[in-house]
Amino acid sequence: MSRNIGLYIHIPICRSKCYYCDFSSYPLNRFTEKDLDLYVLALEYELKHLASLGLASTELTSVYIGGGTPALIDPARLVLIMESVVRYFTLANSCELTIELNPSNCTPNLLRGLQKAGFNRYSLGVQSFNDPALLQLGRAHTGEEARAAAQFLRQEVSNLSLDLIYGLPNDSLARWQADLEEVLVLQPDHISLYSLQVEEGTPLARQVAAGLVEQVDDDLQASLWEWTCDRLYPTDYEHYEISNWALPGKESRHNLGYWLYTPYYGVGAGAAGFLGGQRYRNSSDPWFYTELMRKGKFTAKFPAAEEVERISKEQQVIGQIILALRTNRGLNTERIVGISAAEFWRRYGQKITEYCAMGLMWRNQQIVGLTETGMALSNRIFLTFMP
Amino acid sequence: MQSKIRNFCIIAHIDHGKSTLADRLLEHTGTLTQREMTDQVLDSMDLERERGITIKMQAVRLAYQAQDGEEYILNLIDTPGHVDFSYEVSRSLAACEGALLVIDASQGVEAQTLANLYLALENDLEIIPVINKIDLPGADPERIKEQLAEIGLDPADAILASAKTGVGIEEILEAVVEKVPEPTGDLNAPLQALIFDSEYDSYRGVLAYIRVIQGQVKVDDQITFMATQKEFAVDGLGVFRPKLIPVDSLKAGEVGCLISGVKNVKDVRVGDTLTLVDNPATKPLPGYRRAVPMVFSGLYPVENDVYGDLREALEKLQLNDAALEFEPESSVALGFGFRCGFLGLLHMDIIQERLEREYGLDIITTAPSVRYRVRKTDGEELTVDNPALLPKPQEIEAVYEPYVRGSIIVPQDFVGPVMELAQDKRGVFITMEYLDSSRVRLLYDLPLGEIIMDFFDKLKSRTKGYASFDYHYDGYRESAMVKLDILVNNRPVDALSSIVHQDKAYNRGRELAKKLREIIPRQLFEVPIQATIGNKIIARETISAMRKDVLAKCYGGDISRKRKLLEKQREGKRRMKSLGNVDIPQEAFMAVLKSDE
Repeated sequence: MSRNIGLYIHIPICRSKCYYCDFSSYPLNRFTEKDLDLYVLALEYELKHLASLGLASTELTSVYIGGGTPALIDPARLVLIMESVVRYFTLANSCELTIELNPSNCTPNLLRGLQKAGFNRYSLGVQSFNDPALLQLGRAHTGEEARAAAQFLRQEVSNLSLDLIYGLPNDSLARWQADLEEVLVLQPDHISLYSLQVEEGTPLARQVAAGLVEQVDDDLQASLWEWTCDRLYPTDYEHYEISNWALPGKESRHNLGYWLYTPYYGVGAGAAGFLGGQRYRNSSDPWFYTELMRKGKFTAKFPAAEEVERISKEQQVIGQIILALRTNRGLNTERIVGISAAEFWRRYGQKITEYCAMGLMWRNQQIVGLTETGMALSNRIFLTFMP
Repeated sequence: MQSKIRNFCIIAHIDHGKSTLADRLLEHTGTLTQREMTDQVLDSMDLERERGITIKMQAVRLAYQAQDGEEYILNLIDTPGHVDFSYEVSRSLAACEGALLVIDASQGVEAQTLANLYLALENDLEIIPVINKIDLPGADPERIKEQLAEIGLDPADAILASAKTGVGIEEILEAVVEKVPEPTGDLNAPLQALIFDSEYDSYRGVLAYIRVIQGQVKVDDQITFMATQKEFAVDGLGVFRPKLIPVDSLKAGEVGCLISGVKNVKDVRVGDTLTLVDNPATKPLPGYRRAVPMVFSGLYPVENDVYGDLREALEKLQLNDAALEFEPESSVALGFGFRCGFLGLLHMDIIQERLEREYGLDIITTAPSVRYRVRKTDGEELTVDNPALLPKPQEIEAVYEPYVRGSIIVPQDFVGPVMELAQDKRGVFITMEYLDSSRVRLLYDLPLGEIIMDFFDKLKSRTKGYASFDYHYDGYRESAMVKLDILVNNRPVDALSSIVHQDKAYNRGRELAKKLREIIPRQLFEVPIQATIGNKIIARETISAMRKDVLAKCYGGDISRKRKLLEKQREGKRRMKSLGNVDIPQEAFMAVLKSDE
């Protein structure tokens, strides 16, 4: 496989904030039309700047536009953004072009616009088909709307991914089973199934702190996970990353890039990138970001970044190990940059043998990986590799 | 001269406004301007302020222009307010002639008010009742006055005050001048000065807080401490206003501090008598008692490589704390550490917190123990303050444990629950007496080992906080004690062993295993916890294996954030002790201390 180079573009705009989300996004009604135009222009400036740095190839194997709800900014603007992308970057053959969609505005009109912009992969944030669950998550759509959007997209596009969440407060196995069965009927190409995480500073975290909702206990979380793995195991979906399943050949190339430790450009307010051995994260306020970008000429390498981190050799090694272990391909111990296989085994061999005996890891000669049981406990296992 | 001196202290139930009142007296006498006031000046250590208790005492000199036109020197001596420090309290009371008894105008007389009052009366102090917080809406001074009459004080003497608004402050100062007796010591008699506190100062060495009872002491005098027999020259004398002001001499009746060449607080013992080498007093002042640690526990660094730092920190704390003892010990489970002796649990908590806060050390404290005496079958006698070192049952002829005589003052409605608690703690009932129409004093002989567990907490919860508790050491008695061991993942953890009475061993074992199951987080594998006596397993619990610990989502490729979350988790893990693959959090070692009910 050719080396992945990804580009992530963040559109931090939503109609309303979901209770669990702690990613950068702001309500649409706070943006004027001019704000949106300026934001698109700012993206162009950042794209141009990053392409000129020469820190990574400008031939992209994936572009991912996420949010927020990117489709809210009008397909015409998305066309402009994609035009900017190809102005400074080259799209590799069969480049994966993903856009995130929200069930509330999935219209034929919108889809035509997106297809015109060139997208060939659609990731729909269903989260659930169950109304009470959606209400609990603070989602702005109903189960019926999610169903209709998914069915519509299934008919119209050839590469569809659905996102769902399980382990909600008061969740039950039955509720989750019903959701996942519906997903399977729809036959998406790719499925992302996330166990709900209560992130600091979110409305959900406040609800939990105030005792308004109770998080599900670890045992139920684990049961939901185990049932999910068991249910999908005999199907054609391959469990290729902790939270992701795909039909053969339909893995998200973009997300795989994260796990395989390949570089990616991050563009837009709140976006994160990994270039030239540095990780950076842009300021999350879109107006501030726009202001920073509007000069068009920059002295700093990452002019919108509020955090830049040079990855030390040690961190690089740990990063490669931990990210690769999230995937079902596992970690090829002979290909870790910065540490020899012999050194790797000297350091971790005993622990890995122990984990294998416990059924948490597998080993195939020089390649090691996590079993599904191990994936569920991955944080614990990752700690082994940290200094 | 003595006719212009008044030595007094303030005693009160916790939260009745002692510290605020002290602040106000300083302010009113111009000892400190309002701007100089940090709140509650007398409690100088952060820790004290946070916990609302006073650990170290100080003596502040107030200059007061009384209504009779004369200027008086009022020495306000601060007293600590916890049962662990009751001996220190008694010594500072002995340095006074009078006490302000502060009572909250809405809460009224409480158990601790009485306990303090009795202590003050034992020291023959003149009592001035102050009804404080009369500005509060719930204030009911008339009711409080009735209560005063019931406990044998004259309600007519009571001063209505609000330390917050300043009402009554002038009256209080006048009452101190009028009612507190002037000191009477003979200026020409051989020197007798009572040490009521000491403090280590890195520049000046040890400061001894003294009350000159008779005679006088001057700079350059050769002095001797009567209990330790050590001799020193007086390098300096001073009084606090509240900063240290040098003086040339301290005379009978005066209070101040003395600086000599002493480098170790252990040489300056609270309660000891100071006299002159040339013209010594024939006998020391009564009431000296050496501060003896009663409670012992192991302190271990979480990371073994800071063992040396821990030793240094303990040495520094000891400079200022004559009651703290420590010696090196080691544990299979915890590595190298120190067995430390404390006056009581609060003292232990304070030391632990200071080590963590002031010295940045992560400490594991093992469950506290008392010092047992053991007579072995071969006739050898030994003392055991570390449960792990108790000999095997077949080698033990007899075990003796320390007892205390405990005095509990409690509203009569709670007598039942208190007696039940005392019984449960193997207490032996001695007497019960009515102090007033509603309050009772119960005397019990109790094993100290039971008291250091959680007696005080339970007493408070059973009496809604209305009980006061005081105790003094009362010798050793033979008891049927056994060693309770804990096995985690089939390995004995010496630091979790405890010595318990055999009648209670089964319950304790079950309780402890259950508690540890809750405290020890789930591991990647199943972990059995067993409680054993000798070779007999008396309880077993199982921590089921952890099933899920995963970061599901990676928002837009923000890997750094993910790494930070893992790093945070790793920090948490680091604070635990890893024993045979099992991560045991610090609080597990303290779990032995508390029992559920």
